[in-house]
Formats: sequence, C-alpha cells, structure tokens
Amino acid sequence: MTREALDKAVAPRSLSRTAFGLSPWEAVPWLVAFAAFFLFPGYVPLFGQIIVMTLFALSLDIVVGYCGIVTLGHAALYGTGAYTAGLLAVHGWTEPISNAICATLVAALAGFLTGAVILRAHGFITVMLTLAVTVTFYEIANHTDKWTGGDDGLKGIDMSPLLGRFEFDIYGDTAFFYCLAVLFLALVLVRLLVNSPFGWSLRGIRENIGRMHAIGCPVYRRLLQAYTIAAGLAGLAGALQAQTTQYVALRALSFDLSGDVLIMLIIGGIGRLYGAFIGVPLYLLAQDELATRDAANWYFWMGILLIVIVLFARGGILALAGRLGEILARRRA
Amino acid sequence: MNVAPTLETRALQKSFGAHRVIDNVALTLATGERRALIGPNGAGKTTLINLLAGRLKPDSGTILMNGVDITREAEATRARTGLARTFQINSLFRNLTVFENIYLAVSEQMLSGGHMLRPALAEEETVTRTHALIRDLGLAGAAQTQVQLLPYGVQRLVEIAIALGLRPKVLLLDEPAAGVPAGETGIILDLVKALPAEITVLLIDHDMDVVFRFAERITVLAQGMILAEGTPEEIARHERVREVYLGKRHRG
Repeated sequence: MTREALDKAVAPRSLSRTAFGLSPWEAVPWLVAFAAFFLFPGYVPLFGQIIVMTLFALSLDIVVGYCGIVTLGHAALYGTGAYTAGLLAVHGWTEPISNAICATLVAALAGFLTGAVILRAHGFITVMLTLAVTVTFYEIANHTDKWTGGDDGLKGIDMSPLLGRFEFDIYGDTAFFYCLAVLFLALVLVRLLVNSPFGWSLRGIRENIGRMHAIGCPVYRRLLQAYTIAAGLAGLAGALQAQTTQYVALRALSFDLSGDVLIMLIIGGIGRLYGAFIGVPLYLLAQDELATRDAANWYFWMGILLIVIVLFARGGILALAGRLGEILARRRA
Repeated sequence: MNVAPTLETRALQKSFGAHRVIDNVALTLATGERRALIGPNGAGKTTLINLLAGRLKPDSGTILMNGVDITREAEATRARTGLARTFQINSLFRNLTVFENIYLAVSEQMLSGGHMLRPALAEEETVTRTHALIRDLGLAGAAQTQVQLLPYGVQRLVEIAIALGLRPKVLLLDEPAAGVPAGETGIILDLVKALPAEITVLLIDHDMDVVFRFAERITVLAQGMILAEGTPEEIARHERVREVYLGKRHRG
C-alpha cells in the first residue's frame, strides 16, 4: 500500500468526539459474541479462532492504522508468542494465565529488538525489513525442529485448567470465554492508548512525521514503544492460539499469515479501533463458508472482495458504514 | 544576566554535492530581536533555516542557542528547547482538525505527548492552551474542521499556531504569507507583528514592504554568503544590495 493510499484509508476521528465518550455501538461486538455462542454451539471452536485473530488484527492496527507503518512481519511476533507459550507448556509450565503473560513479554521483547532496527528505516525499506524478520523467524523455527517440531508443528501442549477450575474442553467453551475476556481487556488497553496524548502523537507521526520532529516529538521512541506494545499483544494472541488449539504450526510465523491478517484488517478498516472486529469475523466466516462450498476457489472470491473494498470502500467496511450513517443523519436533519 | 545572543552561528558551511549553499555564515540574533532574512531565490535562505532548526546538519561551523552549542542536537531536541519554525510550504496534519493540529504541538511542549493511559482531553493545561491559541489566532470557527478542508490562508495561520504552541524563544518564519491570496496577507502580517516582544524572530519574506516595516535589522543573503547586514535604512542605501537584489522594485 502506498503512502497516499494509507492517508486516504485511515480514519480522521475527531479528538473531541472520541476522547471520553463510549458509543452504544461499542457493546455490539460483545453482544454478538454472546449471541453467537448460544445460537451456534457447533461453531464455538471457530468463534474461538475468530476471537484470537481479532486480537491479532487489533494489535496490527496499532502499527498499521495508528503509526502508519505497513508491516508484513506481524506474524513473527504472533508466532513468537505461540511458540513461547507452546514450548513452556510442553516443558511443564501449563498454568494458562502466567504462561500467556510470559509469551506476551517474550513477544514484546522480540518486537522491541526487531523494531529497534525496522523503525530506523522508512517506506519500502521498512516493509522489506519486516518481511526479512518474518522469514528469519520462520527459518529459525524450521531449523530448530528438535524443539519446535519444525514442519510437523509443536504438539503435546496440554494446559492446566483455567484459574485451576475450568478445563479446556473439546467443545471449546472454556477457550471461547477465556479468549473473549482477554480480547476485552486488550481492547480496553488499546482504546485507552489510542485516545491518549501518546495515541494522538502516533496519528501525528502517521500524518506528517517531519512536522512531528519539528515540534519536538521523539518520533523513534514513540514508534518503538507502540511497536513493542503491539508486539506483546500479537504474542498474546499467539499464546491463546497455542493454548486453545494445543498445537503450533509453522504457519504461525509465516509471511502468509502476516498478509492474511493485514487483509482482514483492511477489509474491516484500519486506524479505527474496531476494524479488526469487522474484518476478521467476516474473513474467517467467509473462508469457512466458501471453503466448504467452493474449496478450490475460495481465495479467488476473497480476492474479489478485497478489490471491491479497496476500490469502492477505501477505509474498509467501517468507513463505508460511517459514510452511510452520515448520509442518513443528514436526511433526517 | 545572560549576555550571550539568543541564537548565533559561526562559520556555518553547507554544500549539496559540489554546490556550496551556505558559505561561512555568521549570524547573531539578540534576544527579542526582529530580524529579516532576504535574498534572491536560491540564496540559501531556507537552507539556513533548516540548519538552524536542525533538519539539516552543517558540514562545518557551530550553532549556539543562549551560548550553548546545539550544532549536534537533533531537530526535536532543539524544538523542545524553544526553537520553533514554520514551513514555506504548509507542513500540517492534513487529516486532523485545527484543534488536533495545535494540540499535538502543545502536548509535546508540555512533555506530555508520551502519556499513555489518560484521555488526551483529560490533559487540562494542554487543552486550555490549545483553545487559547485557537482564540488568539481567530481560528475558533474552524477549530473542529479538518485542516485540508480549510482555505490556504487559514491553513497558513494553523502553520504559525503550531509553532506558537511550542512556546518558542526563537521563531523562524519561512515566508509565512507565501501562497496566501493578496487580500488576506494582512491578517498574517499583523499576527507576526503582534508576536510577544520576548520572542526572537527571524523572518524570511519576499515582500519588501513587509520586511522593511517588520524588521529592526535585515540580513541579506546571496549565493550562500552574507552580503550585507544592517538597519532597514542602511540596507535600502546599500549599493551592492540594490544591484543584486532590490533592483528597481524598491524605491530606496
């Protein structure tokens, strides 16, 4: 995506409107999640995956949507979290919450170290560096197959009951509520962040990095802080994935996954906080549906959808919804 | 009492490739001084501002602010110590509102731009100062408008407001009225003239009427060198300056 495309795609939400107020719309994702749980019990494991990917895409939104940095390396951080959680569990650290916290911290550290290099670059160089990081991490996991299982994936993850009471059952009920609770906490944190002076300085950097230097903003430090936080959250998503599916595939570290999550976020809308909550369910449900109906070509249909969105709904479905809302409001007025 | 000049350069040099754009420039601005920097196109005026602000690094020479060597300081560090500049071509946060544009500057000046866990609007002093600037510059009607939707003249005011949000001790104004329709330049010039007396101002402008009304002293730059320096009267009488720059346009 070019700089100009990014400019047009991100949301210029007003400071005065968003700083304090909660919109009633913000209850919708949670109501939908609960409704889906009770209405479609057969799909609960899929819903669990959707929640994990939403968390992953939310963390990506910090980097892409708010900092304005296009990354194809976010899976490196997700995978770092997944493998950390998985390896700790395999070696006996099976308490889920502390296990997830460890994975978050390790991924944040990985983000801090790789970000320190990546964020020194600009534009296409950044994209290439993020790509290089993903490929490097992937190959490391691939070649240390003695520990990671390499191509076969990491197996034998068996978590202890959540809070000592709730077993991770085969229906995915515990996993569902566990992941939903984590996603909720993460959203509260990210929402706080993006509405803070820090979050606004990130938007400033995205809009005009040169002027941010000129007004005294320590741009590099801000970006590195944001990248580290995003990395931690991506790692947390990876940890949830490892814990709830009891398996880590090499794909968790792949360029493929980096691209997929970026597409999901773009479909939903970047820089809007809730883009992940629209794009990820839509993408994964469509994938599930199309894969059963037209398994060979589902990616083709997804590509068509992406083209339509980029051409006609720049800024994703949320932007489109926002524009429709404005038109309706004007009609009524 | 601090006797060191607010801003001073010594033997400043800058080349782009083989082309020397700033050549042995020694500039001294006293505290609160109103100085104009003039010179033909390509004389190196904007380059000099970029060197002073820290956007460009000089090949050699020193820059001092209040007697402290800032030659190696980053642009952002200089801004935090009170060296603010505006841009010849608007450099705004185009998708953000006027309020948000100015808020960002005030927030960095307050050193609260890194606060993570409270809403931006909960930073009361930042908000108050932002509103005060908006009011002072007559931007109240446009406060919640996206900057890119505003007429260029109003955007020019936002450009200056951002710099003022930094509570500058030194303000470098790079053609503040450039690109503004003729009828609207008055507002910007009045604003520049009404700046608080304690701010040291270096102004680049092509309009000689503006320069001669505004400046206490004028520095003339030509081919990267200081050709002349003096009061407006001295500059107006200066033979070489009239030849090189003022030409027939100024009645002298």
